[in-house]
Formats: sequence, structure tokens, C-alpha cells
Amino acid sequence: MKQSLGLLILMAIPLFFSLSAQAQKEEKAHSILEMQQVTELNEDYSINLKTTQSLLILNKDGLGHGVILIHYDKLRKIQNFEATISSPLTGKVIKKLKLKDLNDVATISDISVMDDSRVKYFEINTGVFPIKVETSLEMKYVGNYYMPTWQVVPKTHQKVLSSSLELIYPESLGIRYKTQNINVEPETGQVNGKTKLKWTLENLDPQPSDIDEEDDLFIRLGPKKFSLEGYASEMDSWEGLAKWQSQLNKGKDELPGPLKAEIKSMVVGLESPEEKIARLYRYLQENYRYVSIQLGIGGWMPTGAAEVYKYKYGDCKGLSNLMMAILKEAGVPSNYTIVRAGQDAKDIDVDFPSNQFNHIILKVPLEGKDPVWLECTSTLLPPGFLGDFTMNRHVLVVTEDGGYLDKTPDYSDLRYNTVLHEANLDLDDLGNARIKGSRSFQGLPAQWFASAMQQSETEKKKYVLNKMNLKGLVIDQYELNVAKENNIPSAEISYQGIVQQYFQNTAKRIMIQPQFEPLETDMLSNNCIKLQDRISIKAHRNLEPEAPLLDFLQEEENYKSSLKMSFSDNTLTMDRTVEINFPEDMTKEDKQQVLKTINGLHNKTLFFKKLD
Amino acid sequence: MKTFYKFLLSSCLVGTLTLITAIAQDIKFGKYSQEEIDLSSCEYEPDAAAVVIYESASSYFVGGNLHTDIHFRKKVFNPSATDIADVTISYYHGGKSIEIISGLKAQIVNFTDGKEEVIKLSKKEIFEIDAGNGRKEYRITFPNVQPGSILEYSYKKIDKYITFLDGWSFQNRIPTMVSKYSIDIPEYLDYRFLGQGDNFVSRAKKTQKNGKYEWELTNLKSIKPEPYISNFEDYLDKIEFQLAGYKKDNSQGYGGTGPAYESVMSSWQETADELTSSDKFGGFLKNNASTKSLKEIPLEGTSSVERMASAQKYIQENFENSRRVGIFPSQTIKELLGSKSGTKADLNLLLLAMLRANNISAYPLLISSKGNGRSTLVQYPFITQFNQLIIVAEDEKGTAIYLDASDKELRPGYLSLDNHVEGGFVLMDNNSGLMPIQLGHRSGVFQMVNVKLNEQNEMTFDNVVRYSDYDAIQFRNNSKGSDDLEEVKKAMFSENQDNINLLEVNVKSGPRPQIDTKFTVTDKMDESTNLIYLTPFKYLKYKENPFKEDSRQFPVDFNYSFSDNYSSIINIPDGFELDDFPESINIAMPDGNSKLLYSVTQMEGMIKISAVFEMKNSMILASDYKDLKYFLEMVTSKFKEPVVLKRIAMNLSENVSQAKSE
Repeated sequence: MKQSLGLLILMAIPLFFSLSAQAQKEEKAHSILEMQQVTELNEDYSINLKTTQSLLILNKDGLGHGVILIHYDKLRKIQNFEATISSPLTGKVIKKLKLKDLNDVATISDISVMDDSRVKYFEINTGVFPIKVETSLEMKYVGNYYMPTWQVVPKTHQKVLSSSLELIYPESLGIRYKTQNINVEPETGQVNGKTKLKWTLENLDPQPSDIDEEDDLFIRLGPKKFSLEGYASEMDSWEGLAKWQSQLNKGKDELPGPLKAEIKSMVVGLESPEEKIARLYRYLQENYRYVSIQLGIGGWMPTGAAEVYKYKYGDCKGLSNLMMAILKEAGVPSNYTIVRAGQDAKDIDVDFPSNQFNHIILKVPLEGKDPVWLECTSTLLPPGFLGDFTMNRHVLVVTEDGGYLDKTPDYSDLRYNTVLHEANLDLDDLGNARIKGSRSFQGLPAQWFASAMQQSETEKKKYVLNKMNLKGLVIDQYELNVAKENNIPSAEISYQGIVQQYFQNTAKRIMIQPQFEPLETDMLSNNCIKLQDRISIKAHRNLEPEAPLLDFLQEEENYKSSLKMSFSDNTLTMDRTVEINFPEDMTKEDKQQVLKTINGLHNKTLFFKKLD
Repeated sequence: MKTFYKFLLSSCLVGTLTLITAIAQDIKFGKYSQEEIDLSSCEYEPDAAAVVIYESASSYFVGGNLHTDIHFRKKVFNPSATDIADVTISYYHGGKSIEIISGLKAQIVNFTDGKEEVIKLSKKEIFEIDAGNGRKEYRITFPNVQPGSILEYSYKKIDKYITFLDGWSFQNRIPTMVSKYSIDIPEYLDYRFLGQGDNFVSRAKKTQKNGKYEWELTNLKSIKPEPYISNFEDYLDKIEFQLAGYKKDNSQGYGGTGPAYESVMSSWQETADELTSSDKFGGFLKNNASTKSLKEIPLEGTSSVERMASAQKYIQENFENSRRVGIFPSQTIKELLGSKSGTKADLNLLLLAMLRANNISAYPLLISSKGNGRSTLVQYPFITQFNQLIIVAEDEKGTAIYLDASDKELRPGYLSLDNHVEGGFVLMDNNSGLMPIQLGHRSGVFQMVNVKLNEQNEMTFDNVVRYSDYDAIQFRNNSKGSDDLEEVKKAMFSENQDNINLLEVNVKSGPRPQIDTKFTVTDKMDESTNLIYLTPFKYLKYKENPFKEDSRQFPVDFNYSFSDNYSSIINIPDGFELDDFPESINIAMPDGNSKLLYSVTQMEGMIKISAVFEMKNSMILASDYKDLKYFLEMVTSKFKEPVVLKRIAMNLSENVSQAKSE
């Protein structure tokens, strides 16, 4: 899996700004907002969105709030736009803006080959405050598959005087919504024979910039009946949403003759589905590459398998769909699976069926066994190993005529989270040390090594050096071996070299810092890890430890660690183990505190007296 | 500022077009030699995953436009390099077809069992993208890419503007086996060219025949960014062109005088006049209502430098910087005075107008900031080499004072770190030209520490640290100009701040940027042992060695030279004696550029540690990298060494305290 996958693949997930309900202190406001939004659903499934707002920018930090940013593409069209920038002090109009006055750029990423999404934008530059920006924007969405969430307070450090949402929809299509921290009931009414709901909120305090999504105020919107470019379904259940996807996928799995023949020959003699999966997944990895394609409905509809076969490239939809067709040909059924990908992405809101996704993977169910999950955009992962990009989260599995929610594996077993380290050092008179050692990684810690293996020698060495985490290390010689036994990625580095200025001297003593790899939160994307170190240091002269050497075992609720040091024959031996198992709901701060404690305890400087 | 001298520096080649003769061979689209088919690695960079086998651009003039035929041939060795198969060709259309791409051809060839399989890309497979703001892109996604694939594409680029020609860059992120550029210049046009880069200067093969000039470089290594050099683009091999003159055809008709030569920006003065002739630019320089109105803003101080500082401060405090750079103002002076927000060029030209309104001589100074793709300036008026505008003013003695009002931390004589360049182009009425920029400064950190035992039985370190000149500017950049002590503390100390109490941060007024800080650090005593280990200094410029790699391609740029001076006095508490301490040393890099003097002095009841850490030259050659790395390893290690105090036998200490209380 390329790291560039971090970019959005299917379509943009709406970003949620968050705020704290228990605001301890009044946050400073950089701008003051009044906003009215009207979202009207039409019988033909299109949506008219009208937003009118008046923003008073108070200082230069509020300039960012005033940036005009309108995303559009074939499915989201701009109908009308006007803006006026004026000075409330003098009452003078500084600038009037029409659509043609805005800058216009493609939002295409470096890796995307095809993409029709664009953005119109305008930045206000001024050193005079306050300044008022009044905008009115009308957009038309051609389908109601995706309905934008109403964000009551769009920016942090923004005071909202009033904000309202009018939701107008025909009863025949219906609508669904989910409110969060909205403590008012909507007014109800009728407009043009349609139902109207209106929420109005007033005088909301500015939000701090570091707040949790749980504390934010918003109304998530979703359709009941929906349609996009001729494909209709219902979204009041996950099944309805999956059903729509299955319509889109229909007929996309046809394979050309030569590929069918190739598949047949590849699986000759292979009995179990696991063997077939492994062989065919390898075929996919060796012959196809990932590119990003985003074009209108192409954002959800996969490219046909035959076309991906022809070009030998595809996006996550095209590659997953092709793999599904290949497996089907080999007699192994699998399911197209929709996921919100990203190492730090929050799990979807399972109670509110709606488009909360941005990526596609494949689920291969096996009778009587755990399913095999395939990341079809990766040329390197072992079959069945998803990595932290899509692990441990809810996904929507699409079946022939419907679908269901499922969860990807959490890899919380230690065999997916282990790092072993061994090193022997010989100290010299100048403060340096010769070192010979090895480090092995299993599971998630090893997930990027396969990609490092493909780098140039220089880059590979840099990567290895970086993984050693030893100050002053100059590697003379090393060997990196990468494997994926039992479909778990693993890597082993053996190396030798010199550690420059490994220890410090005073007249009577030497000081050694153990330099155990410090634990950091990003090593724990999975909430668990096991580290084991065995380091032996042979001194260049006669020494004796100044203080008793550490020897302890620590067993706490969420972790255990042990450290045993001994000194004999002028050789210091240090054995350490750490096993961490954080509960999923533990806060980042609490995790950091634990890691800090462990790191502090293990990495204390050791003092030795020089003898003779 | 009486003299401006022109200067020419190494690895930079300028000239008019007179070259030796020879002819190089071109390759034909779609025809592959056996060597190319068999090629499975790059000979001089064996671990490269792909190479550019051949790239060429050939320029010629057709009816006043420049046509350039461009041709690339690349080969994939390793699956990790398949991303070279996603190609973007970007060009500036500007709504007026300023640049046009035509005749785009692309194909990929795979060789299976000696059989050539060609896939030509259709129009449908080449995607055209409007990148906005006048830029367009073609994106080619080659199908069927595998190790051994040869990718090839070619196109013609037509350029309407011929004053500045794009020229050619010879290097790529993957190794380049052959790269050439040729240009056929008609007799009526005259161009200056500017080449740069070590390879270009030392070993480009040059040929010339009938007005056609060609440069060829072979076996170029791949280029990659490295830490501690923000500006590796400045070292690339490339060539650019600027029109120097043309022949006007006056010969037609009876009595014609024959072709007359018209020079174009042929001198610095002519270039300066052209730049400043626009209304926007000129409006800042001329007398008008706006510039006259500036006289009403009172400037403090008596000396001219004090008044420069006052004008600079006025803009820093009253105007916002829109963070855009460029050598042209983005608005008129009148608009700027209304919006109170401008680009670096806007703000600096306003500063210039304010100084001139107060009878201080000041001139625009164009520079090429670090990272702009130019390590040395050329002595010909190549205007595209500049990307930023600052100000040079004269004090009473005629000394040049450099000014930049766009950065709130700067004072007269100080420039932001990416503006520390060797020279610039000063725009004057009569004496425009290149001038060297010499920034005098005495950057460094002065640290005084006093360590003693407090009443709570803790060792306390009282630290007074003064940051001067660029260390002060760097300090303010790191703490984002904040005055909030908590914020500043976070910026000063990356980790373990619990036992640090930042008492004071004082940004000093005065001609030099200086910041005085005061903080205390308390170390709990470990009661279980009879020893106290104390590392003498809590502030360190390099707590850890920033260099990890074992070799390097580009020089290391520290941005400024410095001299740090630290001293720590440790008062030995009652009941303790000095047991052990670091040894005095004196280490330096072999070239003497960087050194550390570390000395220990024992005195009655105390021990004093002094250190001088110096870097005389901020640029360290890649060839000295290993020495630098080891030197910094020694420095960081030395500062970890402790002073050890030992408790004197218990009864004695009791006696002492009793003696005191009596």
C-alpha cells in the first residue's frame, strides 16, 4: 500500500470541526457569524442548497474564516454566487465579488490521473479590522446520495450570533437526520406542498481549537429514497446503501478470455481457497498498479474489470472489483467492501446509514474460518493483512443484492505487534563502541519494510538507520530480510558498525545511557505492543557500578515491564521487556503519561567507577 | 555606498554564444537499440529503480514564436519505480495560448522473450486538466508498466513570449544517462545564456554549427532533497536564456539604413528603468500625493539608522504581510495605504517611500532567495534570477543598511535567513547594478548558570540566557513571536518541562535583536544515594546531533555563523565535596571552522565550567560532512558529562549545620 493512499480515494469525507461543551474559559473570537442555510430536496432527487451569511472578521487570525472556498464538480454545480466586502467603520464597500472574480483551480492531487473536482476560492487580504464579508451562494447537487452535514459553528474561535437550517423535502422521498448537541426542536411547516423543518440556534460561544468531535454541534443529514445518475435505492438501512452499490457494480466483473485462461493455469493444482487467494493476490500485486481516478459517478462506480486488465492500472474500486472477478472465476466468492480508510480516521457512525466512506477493500468469506481481507491497492502487503490504514473499523460489505455491516480485524494479538532487539557492544578508549546486533519486527511494526526494500540502496540504508534509533550509530554492514510468513509481515535487520560517542567520561567515571527505544504513541496505533531487548556491553577497562543495578518487574493495569541488569567480567547485560495493552477508550494524554513513565524508568543514565 | 561591483562566482557560467563545433546524434522515436533493450540497471548508480535513458529538447524560432521539440525515454528496472509512469506535463496557457503543447505522442514498450510489444497511447488515455489560474496540464498514465518497460513520449511546446526562454534542466529524481538541449538562433536575434551547476560548468559537451548550439550532459546522478539544505534546487544543472537584442529591419525601401541593432535590457540600468517604469512600481518611487502623505508620519530618533528602524517598525505594526513574494508590487501605493496588507515587495517599497519622504536615500534591492534555484548570481541582467525585493538604504556615513519590513522580527541590517545571499541587484536612477550583501552580525547565545542547593533540599539552576542577532530572530521564529511564557517555554525546551520555571523573556529594544531569558530548573535530590550528578547546562544549541546519515550530496547550510559562550558555577552545598568532573578539552574540526573549548576551574567552595562553541562559516561542504558529524557527536556528548558531588560523612555535616545555627 502506497503511503500516498492517505489522500482521499473515493470521495471527500466531510470534515467535522469539533468543540468542547464544557468550555472552561471563554475562547477568544476572531470572527462573528450570522448564517442561514436552506437545503431543499426536489422530487427528481436533486438538492438546492442556499447559504446566506454575514461574517464580521475581528482580527488577522479571523482572516482564515473569511476565505471563500467553493468545491464543485459534475455532481455539485454552482448556481449563483455573490459577495460584498465592506468596512463597518466607514460603511464603505471595499469590493463586490461575482463568480468570475474568484480564483479557480483543480483540486487534483499529484497522484490522481483523472479528477474533475475543482475549487473556486478567494482570500481576503487586509490589515484593517473589523471587516465584513457578506456572501450568498446557491448550489445544486444532481443527486441526494451525499447530503452535506449542517455545521452550526463552522470554525473554531468563531462567535455565532445566529445560525439556522431550513430542511425542505417532499414526503414521498423522505429524509433522515441525526442531531448532536442541538437542544432545540425544529419548527415544522409546509412550503410548496413539501415538509419544512427549521432549526435556529443563537448566541453560541466560540470553540477552542483543540476540541473533541463529541462536543460539536451539528445535524447529519441523509436521504431515505435516493438516486444518483439513474441508480435509485433507499438509505434508511445499511443494506439499502449496499444495494445501490451492488447495482453500480453490475456487469463490471466480465473478464476477457486470455485472463480467464491465465487464472485457470495459475490455480492448477491448488486446492484450498487460501492457496488460490494467495496466488491470485500475488498476480494482482505483480501486474497492476494503483492510480487515483475521480470523475463524477466514477467516484463510486468501479471501472470494468476488462478495462483494468487492459491498462494494468486502476483505483481502489477498479482493482478491488477486478480481484473480485478474478476470485469468482477461480471459484472463490468475495465481497466488494466499503470503508473509511486512514490511520487516524474515526470509525463511522454506525447508527446513521449514509456515505461516510472513502475507500474500497475486498472481503473473502471462508467457510468455518475467519474471512481473508484484501487491500487491492497494495503491491506489498501479505494477503489477509490490512495494515493500520483500514484495520479495526466498521465496513459495509456489498453482496449480490444487498449488504451488511462488518468489522475488520483489530490485530490486537501480540504476534502482530512485536519488536525484538539484541545488541553486543565493545567500548573503546575514545568513547566510541563497536556494535553488532539485530532487530526483528513482526506485524504492524513491519508493515512498511517491504516498501523500504524496494528503495535504492541509499534510501534503504537511511530507513534501516532510522529504525535503529541509536544516537551516533554509523552502520558498516547490514542485512535486511523481509518476509510474510503466515500472512503476517515481518522484517529482520542484522547490522554492525560503530556508535560514535556512545558513552561519556569524567575523570573517575563513565556514564552510559541505555538508549532503549523510547515508546511513542504512534507505535501504538493498535493499542498494543511487545518490545524485548537484550543488550550486552563489554567495557574497555575495569569498572564497577556506582549504584545497585536495576532489577525490577512492574505489573500495572494496562502494561507490564521488566528490566534486569547485571554486571560481571566487566560486561553489563541488560534485559528488558515491555508489553502494552491499552483499552480502546484510553485518552491520548493518559497513554502518553504511561509511555513517559516507562521511558523514564528504563532510560536512566548508568554510572560506573573506573578502577585501577 | 559609493561603489557597486560586479562579481562572478564559481559554478556559474555566463556568456554569449561562441562555442566549438561537433555534432551529436539524436535518437528516433520508437527505435530501440539492443543496449537499451538489454539495459537492466544504471551503471553508475546501480541501486536506481529507473533511469532516464535519453531526454532532449530542441528549440527553434518560427514566425516570432519559440518551438521546442521535447523527447523523453525512460526505463523501469524495479516495481517500486512504476510511479515514473504517471507523467505530468504542465504549461502556462494564460487564456491566450501563451504556451501551447501539441503533437503529444506516448508509447510503452515491453520486451517478452525478445519480442517487442508496443502500446501506443490514444488521445483518450491522455488526460487534459485545467489546473486553474492559467495553468494547464497533460497527464499521461502509461498502462502495462513492469520491470523492463521503456516509456517514451514526445511533444512540441510553442511559446509566444521570447524575452525569457525556459531553457532546460538536465537532472531528474532518477539518474539521467543522456540529457541534451539545443537551440537554433536566427541571425536577427541575440540571446544571453546562463548555465549553472557543477556538471554543467565542468563537463557539458558543447557544440555549435550554423547558429545552432547544443549542450549535452551524460551520466547524471539522481537528485534528492536532504535535511539542513533548504535550497538544493540552487545546485541543479540547468541553462536559461534571456533576449539581449535583435536587429530591426530598416533596410526596406529606398534610403534604408540597414538593419539596426536594438538592445533589450542589455545593461543593468536599462533593466532597472524598465522594471520601475510601470505605474504600480513607479508610484512608490515618484513624488505624488501618496508618497507626500508619508511625510506626516513622524519618525523617532536622530540618527538615520534610528529613523530607519522607526519607519520599519511603523510598517511592521500597522500593516499585514500577505506572505506572498515577488519582485513586483501587487498593488499601487494608494491601494496599499487603504488595505494595510501587502506582499513583501509592497511593504518594502512602502518603507522605501517613507525613508525617501524623510530624506534618507533608499533603493529597491532584488535578490534570489535561498531555494529559488540559483546558488550564485550572474553578472548579466538576467531578471528571472531574482524573486524577492528588499531595501538597501544609506546611513550618514554612506554605509549600506539592509531592510525588510515584511518580517516583524527584523531590524535595520538584519534579513530573514533565506535572504542571506551573497548579492543582489540594486535599482537606482543611474548606478543600477549588482552589489554584494554583507551582513555584519554577532550571533550567539550567552548563558550563565548558577547552581546551588535551596531550602527544599533541591538543586536549583538559575539560568540567564541571552540570544543575540540571528539566534534571537530564530528564537522568535521558534516561539512564533509569542509573549505567552507557557508557549515560549514549549518552544525553548522540547521535553520534560515540569521542573523548569521560565521567569522572564525580555525582547530588548535597541539596534540589535536580543532576547534575555531567565529560568530556573530544579532537580530533586535522590536521598538514597550520597552522590549528586549535575549536568552544568540546561540550554544547548544541539541537544542531540541533528545529523544521522553517513554521507551527503549537498553542502550543509547552518544559515548563519555563531559563537556561543556558556558558563556554569556550581556552588558545592554544605555537607558535600567535589568528587568528579568532566575533563577540560579543546576540539575543532580539521579545517578549524568549528570548535569547542570546554574548561573546568576549581575554586573555593565552587566549580566553574566554561564552554565556547563556535561555527565560523555557516556553509559546510559535503566533503567535510563526516568530520562535522563526528564533531557534533563529540560536542553533544561532552555536554552530557556531569559534575559529581559526594556527601561528606554524616556526623561532619551535622556539626556544620549546628555550627551555623549557633
